This record gives sequence, C-alpha cells and structure tokens, in this order.
Amino acid sequence: MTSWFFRVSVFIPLLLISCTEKPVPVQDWDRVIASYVDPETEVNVLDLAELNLALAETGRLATDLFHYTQVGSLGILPDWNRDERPGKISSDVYYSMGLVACAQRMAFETNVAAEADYLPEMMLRLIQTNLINGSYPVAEKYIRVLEKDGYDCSRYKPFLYNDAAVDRDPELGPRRRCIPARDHIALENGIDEDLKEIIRANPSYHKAIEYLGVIYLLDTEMDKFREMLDEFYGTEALPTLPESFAEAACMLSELERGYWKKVGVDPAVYKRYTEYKKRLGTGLSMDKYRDTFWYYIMRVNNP
Amino acid sequence: MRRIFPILSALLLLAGCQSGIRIAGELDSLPEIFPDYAGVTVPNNIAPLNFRYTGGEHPSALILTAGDQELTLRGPLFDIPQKQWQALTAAGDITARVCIKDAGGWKSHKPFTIHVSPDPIDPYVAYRLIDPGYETWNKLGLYQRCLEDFTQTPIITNDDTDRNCMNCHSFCNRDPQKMMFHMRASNGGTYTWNEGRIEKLNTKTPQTLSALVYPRWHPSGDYIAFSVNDISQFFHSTHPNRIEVYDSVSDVVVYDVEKHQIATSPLLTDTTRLETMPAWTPDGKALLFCTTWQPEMPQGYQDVRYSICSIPFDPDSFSFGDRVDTLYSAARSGLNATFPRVSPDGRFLLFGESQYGCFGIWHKETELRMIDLRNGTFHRLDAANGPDADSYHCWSSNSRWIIWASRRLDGLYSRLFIAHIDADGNASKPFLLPQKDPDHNTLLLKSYNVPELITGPVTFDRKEMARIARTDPGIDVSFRRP
Repeated sequence: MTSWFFRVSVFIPLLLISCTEKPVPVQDWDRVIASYVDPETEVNVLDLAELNLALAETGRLATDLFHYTQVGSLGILPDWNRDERPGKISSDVYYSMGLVACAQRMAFETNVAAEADYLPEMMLRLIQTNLINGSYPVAEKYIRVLEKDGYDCSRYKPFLYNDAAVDRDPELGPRRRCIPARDHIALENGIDEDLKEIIRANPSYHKAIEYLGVIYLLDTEMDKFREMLDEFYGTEALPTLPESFAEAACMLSELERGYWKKVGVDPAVYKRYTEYKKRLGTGLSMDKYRDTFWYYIMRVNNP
Repeated sequence: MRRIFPILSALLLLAGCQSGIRIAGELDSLPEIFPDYAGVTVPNNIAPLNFRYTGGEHPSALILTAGDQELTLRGPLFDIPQKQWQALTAAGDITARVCIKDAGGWKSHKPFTIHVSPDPIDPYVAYRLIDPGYETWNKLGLYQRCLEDFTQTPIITNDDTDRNCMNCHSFCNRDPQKMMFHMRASNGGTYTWNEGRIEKLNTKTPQTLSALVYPRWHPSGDYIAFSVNDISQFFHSTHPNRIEVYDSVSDVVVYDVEKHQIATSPLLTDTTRLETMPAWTPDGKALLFCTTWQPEMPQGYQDVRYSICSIPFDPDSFSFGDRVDTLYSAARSGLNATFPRVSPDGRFLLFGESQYGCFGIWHKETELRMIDLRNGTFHRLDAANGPDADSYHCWSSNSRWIIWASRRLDGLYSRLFIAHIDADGNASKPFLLPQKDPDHNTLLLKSYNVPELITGPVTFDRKEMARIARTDPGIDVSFRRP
C-alpha cells in the first residue's frame, strides 16, 4: 500500500509538470528601461544596446536616446562575437528594425553557437521570421520542437499556412510589409541602405526611420542625416521630427539659415539650442543639456 | 466489375478477419501518412519503412501483406518489427492498407504498394550531421548509418577534435577502408584513412590557391582529385535561398596518395575561368570537372553557370591530356550544372542543375539530372526531384540506386532520399531514409550532408584519429611542376 501510494503521489505531480506548457521567455521592455542605471564612467555596450532596444520597442528611441549616455552606434547594434548575449541582442535589434532576414540569420547563428540544443528565445525568433517570410514548413518544424519540450506555441500556431492571418497580425504583418520587393546582398552597402529600403517599402513602420536617424546621429554623420530628412521628412515615414532629430535639425541650421523651421522644429527647441550655443565655451557647466544631441556631439568632439 | 466488387469485398473481409480487424467499409482515398511511402520502390535489404498515420485522431491500424506474409500493427506510429519486415520484403512487393476506426467500425483507406526491388543497396551510408547554418558551427560530426537497420554510429565528431569543423568526406569506390576528410580551424588538415593507416596532410602549397577542398577519389585508389577554391558567402536580403556561396577563384588539381604530390594541367587552372567539383569516370581515364568563365564576384553571382567538362587522365604516368570535352554545356542549356557523379557502370552522369551558382544545396530550384553517356540522352528525373533543393547525390555500387540530400520536407533541413534507377535511366518515386521513429525527421535540428554509400562500416579508431589530429605535425604536400 505504501509503495502504491508513493508511486501515485510522485507520478501525479510529474504528470502535471510535464503537461504544463511553459512560455518562451520574452523581454519586459519597461522593466529593462526602469532597471537601467546610466553609468558614470564605463558604459557596457550590451546593457546599453538592450536599453536602446527597449526604447525602440516602446516607441521612445529617437525621443529619449540622449537621456542616457551613448557611445556611438555600437550601443545600438553591438559587435557580434558568436557569444550568446550579443547574438540575441543583435537578432532582437534587427527584428525591431524590420530587417527580417538579418534577424533570422542572427537567431540561427546564436542558436547554433549555444551549448544547449537551442535557445527558446531564438527558436521563437526563427518561428516569427519564417512565418513572416511565409516559410511555413520550417516554422512548423520549430513549433513542433518547442512543443515537444513543453513550450507554449499557441500564439504562433494559428499563422501556419495562413497568409491573411500573418498580414493582419500587429507583430508579424508590419514586418512582412517591411520586406523589400527587390532582393540584394544584405548589409552590402551598410545597414543604413537596408533601413532605407524598409522605410520605402513600409513607411508606416516608424521604428526603421528612428533607427536610421539615431545611427546617423550616434556616428555624427550629419550629411547623411540631412539627406534622410530631405527624402523622408513630411512623408508618412517621418511626418514630424522626434526630439533628437529636432535637436540635430537645429544644428543643421548652422549650414542653412532657418532650416529648423523648414522641418517643423518647435521654436522652444531652437531657443534652447541658441541658449546652449551661448553657454558653450563660457566655462559654465553644460550639465543642463546632458539629455540633448548637442551635448553628445560636444562629448564626441571633446572626449 | 459488378461481379468483381463482391469478390474483392469478400476477400477484404477475409483479410480483415485474419488480421483481427473487421473492415466494415472502404474510403476512397489514400491515407495521410508521414513519410509518404505510397508507391515507392525500395531495395530488398532496406530497414523497415516505419511511418505515422497523420490523417486524424481516429484509432488506426496497418495491414501489410506480401505473398503469404501478413502483418497487422496498431497506429498511429507503425513500428514494423525487423524480422517480419524482412519476411515481407523477401516475399516481393508489399501491399499496405491503412485502416481507421470510427463510429461505423474499421474502414480501409485505398491500399498502396511498396515495390521491393531485387537490387540491393550498399549496406551503409556515411554523412555529416550539421546545422544548415551560415558562419557558425558548433557540434557536428561524420556518422554512418546501417541501411539494413536503424543503427547510426559516429565515424568521428568534433567532440573528439576541439569542436573544429570537419567536411568533405570521400571514399574510394565506396570502400570504408579508403576514406578522406578535412578538418578546418583547429587541427586543420586533410586526413586519409587508407588500408589501416591514418595520415594527416598539410595541403596548401605556394603554387595552389588554397588547401585542398572538394575531393573525389580516383578508382585506382592512387590519386584524389580536388578543387582548390577561395570560397565566400553572402546573405540575401529577401531571397528564399537565404545565402549564396561562391568561389572568387578556383582550380582543379590531382593529389598522388603515395608521393604526397599535387599536379595539375593548364586546362584545369585557367585564370580566366573557375574550375571545381572534380569527378572520375569509373575506368579512371577521364577527370570530370565543372567550369565557367570567371565573372566579377560577388556582383556577378547570377552569371555563374558551370558546364561539365572532362579531360583525359593517364593514371600510369600521372599526366593529363590536352583536350577538354564538354559533357553538359551551360551555354546551350542556359542553366548551371554542378556536382557530377558517374555511375559505377560508367553509363550515367548524374548532376545537379540550377539557375546559377556552385552550391546547389542552397538553391531551392536545384534538381537532379542525368545524361546517358552512351547516347547523350538527357533524363530529367522528375519522379525523383522534389519542390526544394535536391543535391549531394551518390551512386550505389550496382548503379541501381541513388541517394541524395533533399530539403523538400521543410525547405531547410536536408534529409536523405533514395531512388531506384532502372536500366533505361528511369527514376522511381524516392523514399525518405527510414527511421525507427519517423518524427526524428521533424525534431532533428541538423541537416544530413553529403551522403556517401559505402560497402561496410568505417572502422578507424576515433581516439587515434583525434590524437593524430592534435599531435601530428602532418605531411607537407608538395606541388609537382609539369
């Protein structure tokens, strides 16, 4: 009797555990932002990249970017060295940008490099990107692998072999519309050219132009930033300038008088810029401008 | 017909009773099963064709009959016992009837036939299991599988060799005692296993473009033809092919196994052309290779269309002829041919045909094609080809079977398919390499890569091979000027 009871009492919890579907871990972007501590000195580019990704995913990248210490575009897309964390972040960033092929590639590479058979988050990315591409058989394969290991894939199963459902989905549909009609070698002419293709293909996908603009600003490529505004300002892709873009447009007014008005910069922002300029070089503290693109440029020029 | 139907029904009922399943009716459709083994042709020494009923949640059963043999199994996974399978295949063609049970009792789907060929297939296949990835590799290895059962054993894995990369395994006439492969990155070198002796070779010479790459062992065992290549790849932004692998430059050379020397011909090293993927005719007197003019890369990647050519080779003097013949003309077809393999009886040239490029497995349109070398007849092999890449093909010793890697199941992870080639060059409907559990094909996150049929298992000592890889400085291969 004892042994029978023991067998049942052990077996039932095991059965419950094996039947419980676990969610694939996903990032809580608000928590990432809330827990980020802006470092006084050494910036960890991976932490920063995760923060910037969280800003992008919550629609605040081009607005709040310079509220945190930035270190160039490596803080957006860190170097990939086959380690797990930069690989995962890279895949997440590409996915956020709308670069579906690159997101898939990094997910695959990171999965392969993992010591475990696979990383659930990267398997999820492979499911997402293959659904977006309409590669349903391989997406189905990945779903079956995750399900075999007890992961809950109910969110994505309904999209298998269902183009209309993918098109309608607020996560997958917009990214499917980001796929450019013309194939080319990915990243051949720099990530900015690939982002421009996305913006042209799907102007309503605003993350792409936010990434494009902030990459130019972080790398202080003002000529390219200006070209970007020339092409996209006033279109569906960029109807108004977010905070960091407006600050950069103020600086561009040094080269073309009144440019800030042309691109709809709030006069209050331009007024703040003129105050910043007056203070610059006076020896007074510039800390009140720490949250601006101007301060970032100043630091880049005077490290 | 009216008369036949009651007789058939009676026979069916009788069969049903014998198998313990009383069939109450027939369904007008073939069953949904995975893998699709309906109508395939198999060698008489193949492992059981286990499959799964995928048509629904109904209870299912399988009745297999051949001659006076009969076997009934309950589904949905039909795991056929080895001995009973052998008895069935010995009796000839097998009739498979999948039945499902609903409220009205057992109903039979339309039966299908598994044709059993008297032509056996070589008992083993060697392959690499690798992630179908781009730059990164991790756990990979060369494995061998007994085709007569489900036993898979490692030949060598990179767990033995510091997680390096290993590739391009090749055998001489399917002989497991004559094998070579490369290791890349750590412990880099070419390794030969030749009649009980392991050699590590350092194969980059000042006169050649690279270390030795794509191999093909001469039928005499005295030589191995290789390409030397500068290989690159890029990633597509939207193309379903995902990546493009290409050569910036490439030549073909031949390695003398005994003298550790490389030699070549100006006709195999034309600087205006790419030459790659060598192969031999079974008599060893002609070296086949793929060749194309050399476009600017990577911009010209879509202009790379290889022809298959041959050059005479004299094994006695280790010398090349001065004439190149074209066996497949890319200029004429407008298409691209790679990976030539001549059947051991010398009759058929099997190759992959695609739109462009040197790496067929990454081209969804790649299909197997065949030319009858006796009369030039072109065989499309439509029955064998699938909707995705079909590549890395290999012949059986008796020239009656081909095995290859196909991405038709999910578009990415290649699996091994086998088809019969009859005396007229016709391919049968292929069958997926049977697995003990067919779900293995879905759940395995590796590709089967470069299947090579062999006449028995490779027997070298993995630990000894790994020790040599780590500690042996290797033999420097030299270049022999003409």
